Amino acid sequence: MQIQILMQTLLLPFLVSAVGYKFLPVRFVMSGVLIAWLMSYAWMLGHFPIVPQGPVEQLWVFLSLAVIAGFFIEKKPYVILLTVLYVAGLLSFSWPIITYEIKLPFMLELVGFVFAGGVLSYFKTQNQRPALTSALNFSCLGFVIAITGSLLIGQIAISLAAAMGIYAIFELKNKLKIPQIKHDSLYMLSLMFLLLIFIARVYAELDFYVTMLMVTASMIAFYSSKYTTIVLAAVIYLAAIVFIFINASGSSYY
Amino acid sequence: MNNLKMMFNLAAVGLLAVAAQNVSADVAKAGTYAIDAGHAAASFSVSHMGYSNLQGRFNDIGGTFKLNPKGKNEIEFIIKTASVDTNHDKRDKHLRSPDFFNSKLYPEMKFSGSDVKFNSKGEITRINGSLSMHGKSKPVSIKVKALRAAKDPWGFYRVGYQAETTIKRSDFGMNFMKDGIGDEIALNISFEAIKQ
Repeated sequence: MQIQILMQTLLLPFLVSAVGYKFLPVRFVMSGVLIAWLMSYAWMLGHFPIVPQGPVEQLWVFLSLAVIAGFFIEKKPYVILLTVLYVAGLLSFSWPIITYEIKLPFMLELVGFVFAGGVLSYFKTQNQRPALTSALNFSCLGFVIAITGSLLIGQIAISLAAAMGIYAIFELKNKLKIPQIKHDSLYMLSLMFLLLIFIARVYAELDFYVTMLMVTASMIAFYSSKYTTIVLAAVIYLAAIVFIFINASGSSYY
Repeated sequence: MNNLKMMFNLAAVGLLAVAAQNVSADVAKAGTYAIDAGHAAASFSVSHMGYSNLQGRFNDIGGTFKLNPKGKNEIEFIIKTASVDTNHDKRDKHLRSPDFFNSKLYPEMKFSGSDVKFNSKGEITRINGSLSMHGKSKPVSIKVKALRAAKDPWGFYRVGYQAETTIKRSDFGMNFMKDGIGDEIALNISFEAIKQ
C-alpha cells in the first residue's frame, strides 16, 4: 500500500512532468504539469470524474480550464478569467454547505478566501522562483492536510508539488535566477492552493489557525522576491506543523 | 382424581394462553411507527488490513415505517454520517473527511424499502429496498429478526427488531484505501419503534 501511495503521489507526476519538460515546447509547460497531475489524480480517486461529484472531483475542472484558457488569453484578461474561475470554484465547493446549513462564521471564511484571491490578482508579484514556490506551497499543504484530516486531499496537493518538481529542480540549478514558469502560471497555482486549502478547511475540518498560517505563508511565498521572504514563508509553514503536533491528541490509528 | 384432572386441564389451558400471548407479542400490529432514537443503534464492522475487524457505530439514527402485512409497507431509516464513532477522535475525523463518508457533502445515508417479507406468523423477516449513501443509490436486502411487539410499561405500543446486511463501500463510490480498509462492511441495526 505504501509503495502504491508513493507511486501515485510522487513518482508518476514527477516522471510524467519530467518527460513533458524534455519533449514539450516551452509554451506547453503547464499542459505537461496538468497531464502529469491528472494521471496521478485519477489514480488516487480510483476513476476519472468526468461528471464531478463534490469539490474534490471538481478540482480538475478548475485547473484544466485555467491551463486551456492560457493558450488563448494572456496578461490582464487571463488574470481576470482565473479570478472568476476561482470565485466560481469557491461558490461551487460551498454550495452543499450553504444549502444544508448556512452559518455566519462559514460565510465570513468564504469571504476571506475570496479576498485572498483578490489580493493575489490585484498586486503583481516579482517572484523569480515560481516553480519552487509552488512546489514548496503544495508540499507543505499536502503534508499538513494528510496528517490532520484527509490523506486523499494531502496526496492531491503533494502530487501537484511533484508535478512541479522538475521545474523547481531547474530553478535551483539556475541558482533561482531563471524562472521556469510564467507569473500567470504562479497565480493560477496559487489560486489552486487556496481552493485546496478551502476544501480541506470545510470538508476535512482543517484547524482554523493552521488554515490562517498556511494561507499567510502561501501569500508571502507568492510575493517573495528575496531569499528572506521565502525563508519566512517556510518558517510559517513550520509553525503550522508545530502547532498541529502540539495540539495533536490521541495515538495513531493507522 | 377429578380434582387432579381439573388441575391438569387448567394448567394446560394456562400454558396454551401463555404460549398464544408469546406468539402474538412478536407480530407487530399494522400501523405507522417512529423509530425510538434513544433505543436505536447502528453498528458496523470492517476489516483493518486483515488484522482485525474494526467496530464502529453511528450515534444519530432515526426513521419511520408503515407496517401492513396485508397491504402496502414503507420503511425509511436515516443515519447521520457525521455521527460515526469508532472510539477514536482522529480516526472519526478522518472517516468524516472526503476520504470516506465526506459527511459535509453527504450528511445522511438513507435506506428506503417497501418490499417487506413476512413469515407464516406475520413477523418481518426481510426488507428489500434501496440504500442511498455517498451520493449513490444501490439495492440492498436487509435480514430482519423480530424481537418483540407489545405494550410497554408507559402505555406505548412498542416493537423491536434486529437487522443486518453486508454492503460494499466501493459500490457507493467510497474507494479510498481499499487495500488497507476492507471493502465489505457488515451493518447491524438494532432498534425499537413506537406506534403512532
